[in-house]
Amino acid sequence: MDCTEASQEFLEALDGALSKPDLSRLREHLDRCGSCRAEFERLHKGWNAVRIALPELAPRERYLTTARLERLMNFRSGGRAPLRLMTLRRFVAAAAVAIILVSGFFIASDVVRMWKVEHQEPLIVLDWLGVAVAQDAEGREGLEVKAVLEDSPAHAAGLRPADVLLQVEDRGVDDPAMLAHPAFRVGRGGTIRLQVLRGDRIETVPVAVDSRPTLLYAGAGRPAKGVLRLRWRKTVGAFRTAPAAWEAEEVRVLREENEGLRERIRQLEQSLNQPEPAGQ
Amino acid sequence: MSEKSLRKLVEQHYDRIFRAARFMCGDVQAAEDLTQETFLAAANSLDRFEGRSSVYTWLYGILLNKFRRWLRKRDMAATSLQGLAEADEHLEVEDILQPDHTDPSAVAERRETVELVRAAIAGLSADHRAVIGMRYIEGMPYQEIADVLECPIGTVKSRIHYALRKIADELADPDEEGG
Repeated sequence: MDCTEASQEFLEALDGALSKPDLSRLREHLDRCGSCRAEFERLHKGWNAVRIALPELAPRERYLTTARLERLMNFRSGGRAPLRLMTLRRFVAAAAVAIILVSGFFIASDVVRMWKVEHQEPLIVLDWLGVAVAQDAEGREGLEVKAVLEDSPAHAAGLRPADVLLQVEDRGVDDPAMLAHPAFRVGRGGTIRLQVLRGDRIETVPVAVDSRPTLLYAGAGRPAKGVLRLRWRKTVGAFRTAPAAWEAEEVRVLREENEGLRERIRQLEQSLNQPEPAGQ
Repeated sequence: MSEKSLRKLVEQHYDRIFRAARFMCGDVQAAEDLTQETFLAAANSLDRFEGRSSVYTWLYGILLNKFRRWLRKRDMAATSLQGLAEADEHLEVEDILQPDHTDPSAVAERRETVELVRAAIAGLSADHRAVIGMRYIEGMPYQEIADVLECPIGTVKSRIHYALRKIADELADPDEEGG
């Protein structure tokens, strides 16, 4: 064994991965070669220090706390850095076709989301319907409508905050996850029947569902007062995010719209001010 | 990638990736950020993962890229050393008192070793730190490390060799052997 061969086996020797014959050949070489021995001892020293220090430099712990997980998931859905709409649109264009083909309500099953607003009340946002509901704190039947999204199917059907949703398509709503289901069954452009407790009367309310998966975004909102300032957009995708991020996103979109309007006004003014070209 | 599958991925691999990140950057806050970036990037590029390596190897590769970028941003060794020194605040005396190290001088020696290794590692390049982490924290086989780094197995070994030697040199430095 020469020095090059020996040095190639140093790491395996430290790992304890050398076979006995290989190890004894290495030992023989180290006995003969002072410089290889020195090098191997040096490596051994480093290796030993690493083994002592690493458990402290990188302890084996449970690092995944609920807070970290939630932060990550929230970030994913736009919490700290909201998805830019332009990027989203490009994605949406491709995804829209695929999703609608696969199922008009592909998103719907993923749409029942728990959402804590400022006053810490867990809200369930049913974006196919356009309401935010909450389970009764005292365990009474039904889901109380806390907010109705503007221009949503629920809005069009006249649902109001304080209505209590009792049944959807003749099925109880005790399991919020189930609420995604009727929409799934109805498919595009269908109507679903809601049984609603309004005051002390039970009413049946038909709701025309625009089954296109919808992108919602909300202002910081005033959920305590009943109506979230949500806008209903006919585009694909549904994402949830923290109120602050919603607000930033809404400001951005409104600004964009505002600029579009300004530009339109400018064009109209220009055409008004321009005299009719004569003689043409 | 659906929220559910991302959640699953995170739950399965977070601890290991976080530990690796913490080792590499020596700073809990930075480790959390890097880990988060790693998973978000993974979620966005899942379609590019075609099972030619294990999920963990793939994640480690992403982490390494994030880490390299992080290092560049932080202007290399000087800042990193500081970062590692700051990480020390998480190290309590109790952490060092292992059952077989009850002798006070052994504890002091051990502590000194930890500090010296910490300093030595902070002086290593991103790739050298990463190989040490992969090999001696995760116990990854050389081939797997080579897959992550996308380099020949010989390069992996020579990097580990170099890094161990550097660490040994740090321990031998007479300036550092005060107490």
